Amino acid sequence: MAGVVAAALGAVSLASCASEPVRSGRVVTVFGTLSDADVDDFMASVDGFESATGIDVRYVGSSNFEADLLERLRRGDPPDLALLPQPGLLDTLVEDGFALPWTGELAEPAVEGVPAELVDLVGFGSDVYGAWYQLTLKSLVWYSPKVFALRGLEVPTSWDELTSLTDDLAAGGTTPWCIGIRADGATGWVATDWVEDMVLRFAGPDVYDGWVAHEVPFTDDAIVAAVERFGAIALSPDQVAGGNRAAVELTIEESARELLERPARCVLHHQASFLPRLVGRSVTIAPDGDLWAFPMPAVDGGEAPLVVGGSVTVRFSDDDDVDQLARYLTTADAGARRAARGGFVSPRTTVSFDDYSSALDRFVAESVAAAEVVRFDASDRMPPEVGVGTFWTGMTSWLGGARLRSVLVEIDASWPVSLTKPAIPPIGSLGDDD
Amino acid sequence: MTEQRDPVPSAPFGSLPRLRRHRMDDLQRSLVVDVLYERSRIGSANTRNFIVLSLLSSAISSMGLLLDSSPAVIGAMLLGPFITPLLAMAGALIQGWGRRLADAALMVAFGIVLSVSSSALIGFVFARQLDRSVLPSLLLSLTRPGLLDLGIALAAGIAAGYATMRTEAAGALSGVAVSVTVEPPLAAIGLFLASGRGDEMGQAALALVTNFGALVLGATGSLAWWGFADRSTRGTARQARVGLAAWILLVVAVAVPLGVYSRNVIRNTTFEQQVAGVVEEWDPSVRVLSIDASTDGRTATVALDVTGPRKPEPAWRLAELLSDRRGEAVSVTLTFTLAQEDRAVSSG
Repeated sequence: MAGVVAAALGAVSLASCASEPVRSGRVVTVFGTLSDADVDDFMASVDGFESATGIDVRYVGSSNFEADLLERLRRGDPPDLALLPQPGLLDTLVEDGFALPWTGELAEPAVEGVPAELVDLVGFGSDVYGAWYQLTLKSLVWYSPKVFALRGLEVPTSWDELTSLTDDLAAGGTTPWCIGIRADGATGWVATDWVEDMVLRFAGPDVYDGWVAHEVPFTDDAIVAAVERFGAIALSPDQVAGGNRAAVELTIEESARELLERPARCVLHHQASFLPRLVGRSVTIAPDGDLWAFPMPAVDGGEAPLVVGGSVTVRFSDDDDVDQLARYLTTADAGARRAARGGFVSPRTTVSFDDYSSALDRFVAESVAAAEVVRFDASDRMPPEVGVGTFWTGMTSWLGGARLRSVLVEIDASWPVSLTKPAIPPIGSLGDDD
Repeated sequence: MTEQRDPVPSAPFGSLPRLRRHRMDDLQRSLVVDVLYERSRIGSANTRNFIVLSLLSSAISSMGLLLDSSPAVIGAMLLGPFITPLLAMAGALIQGWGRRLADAALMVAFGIVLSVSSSALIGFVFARQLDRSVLPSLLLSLTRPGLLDLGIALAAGIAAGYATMRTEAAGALSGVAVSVTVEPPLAAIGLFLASGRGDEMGQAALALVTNFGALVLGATGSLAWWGFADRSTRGTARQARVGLAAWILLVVAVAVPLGVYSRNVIRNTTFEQQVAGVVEEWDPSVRVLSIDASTDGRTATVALDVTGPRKPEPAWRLAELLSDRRGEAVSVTLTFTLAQEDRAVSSG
């Protein structure tokens, strides 16, 4: 008797090209993870470059980015450039000899106006292998200013104030938080973002850096305590709408929309600066609008340490046309054109705050520039097996009821033994310290 | 011996009957009017038949759609009772009879409620979960109304009017022609209602509204042409003109979005054929299970469901190939199912 065994795989890909006919036959391909709306904005931002140079820019994106990029590289079909969302993957690309260094005339534009701690993440030996293109702020707590005004609530400026606010809300019968971690092919990253904020706040940046480098294991008391602080919120039915069951079952989009329901199912939502794209409908993002955000407060009420994410332009082709686009993407003009379309923050100080058309983008750019402690998303810096693998799945299992100690031991055990990052140049030697 | 000569033909194909304008005599008109309006009123002797046939025709049509059985759906059409009130509406529009128009419209509305209820009941019992990807083709076609459907309804309306005025024409067959355009959408609305598929129900409802509008318009023109109008019993000329103009506006209002929709359907169908061709070039090892492709002329979206013996080529490659061919942005969502044969034997 014969049977058919079926398994399902899913992928999303989007290709975009200029709407005008090819002008010169010179095409530079960019591979990335941008969503449909972001692709339109990206393509519009390079219109001027295409007109000035006669080079056609083609963007091709995939939701299966990491696997597709590695497959392309290994079969000898590299894109010209990639917008890489995970510096952790850059380690592999450099070690395997796929990524090209930004040397010669590209060396200075690659680091111009970029904070040193971000430059460090793309530096290997004496060269940099990527140029920062975009920044997102992860350490945000979203709320409805209208609801806050109606209830007479104040934006908390310290961890104690935040705890008092949520306890008071819970005591009054209002669930403070909405959490949903489900995402197609990427379930868990919302939970790891929470943990990263807890580690940076309660254990400090040194432990955070050690944790990313695996000098501090997941089973370290500081990391366990940080996860448990998140658990005090996420596992409490009084603190999270629907309790931990809802946190595991709701998608990131559904939980974001809960903040906008009338009556609202919650008052606070921890999510990155791209939350407006998740809610899927037109809302006013402003300090007195439908939604606004404040940085997750520091423990002592001082300047909040911030976790950021972002994307890096990586070169795979040594070609004049490719170099022209690579260099253009580092310019203030490219940043300003993209910023004018909204939903984008440049990591470069060369882009003026006035270039941002959106109040949120300007707020994010100013917050990051003013922060004393900024760290890149830990899961995106860790080896992919851990950062976008066992860390995500482990936190999902724990929220679903698994024992924390067992989960953390398993995450530690999955850390690849052989992978060590090449020597990092001293901070500040490659770029500005602004 | 007398030479037999063929008559000289008056036309290349002999003497064709002329569709010349024909005026009914008063007796004939009076009979038609009496029958038509007596049967198109809730509370008349015909009401019981109308209720039973509405319920049964819709139930049979619903089951036929679920089984994808054309004979069953055709059978339901034979029972469809809507021709009488629809013709009554057409005649009332010509004559400016407001009360009779309202009575007939009420009966049509009553029949719609009965039919949708009947099909929804069938849906609740047999088809609570309708997955769009596996909809029977007859049912699926009702979610894609187009200008051709409007054309069919218009012709059916003309046929119904003609059959009513010319007693030698087969009235039963024109009833079927009317049912072709009414019964399946009614059944589809009920089925989609039962399964909570709002979008598809909206499309079926659009098909129904379009068909009703075109049927009545066709019948109105047909009745008017073949002499239904009668000055002695007509309401004011203004009433008749306003009624008819309103009805034409209704049909045009539906025809415009339907025309746009038809154009999109044709464009998307062409696009889907193009996708099928490019898929063979992209990865010859896959077998296509379904393609859902649409484009607004600037950005194209493709949802592709394939199966094969191994993981297919990456989706981005297909998006790039399609983008090359079309010169527009293309978004591809690929779902892949691994087809794997697993053989086992036991000697017992």
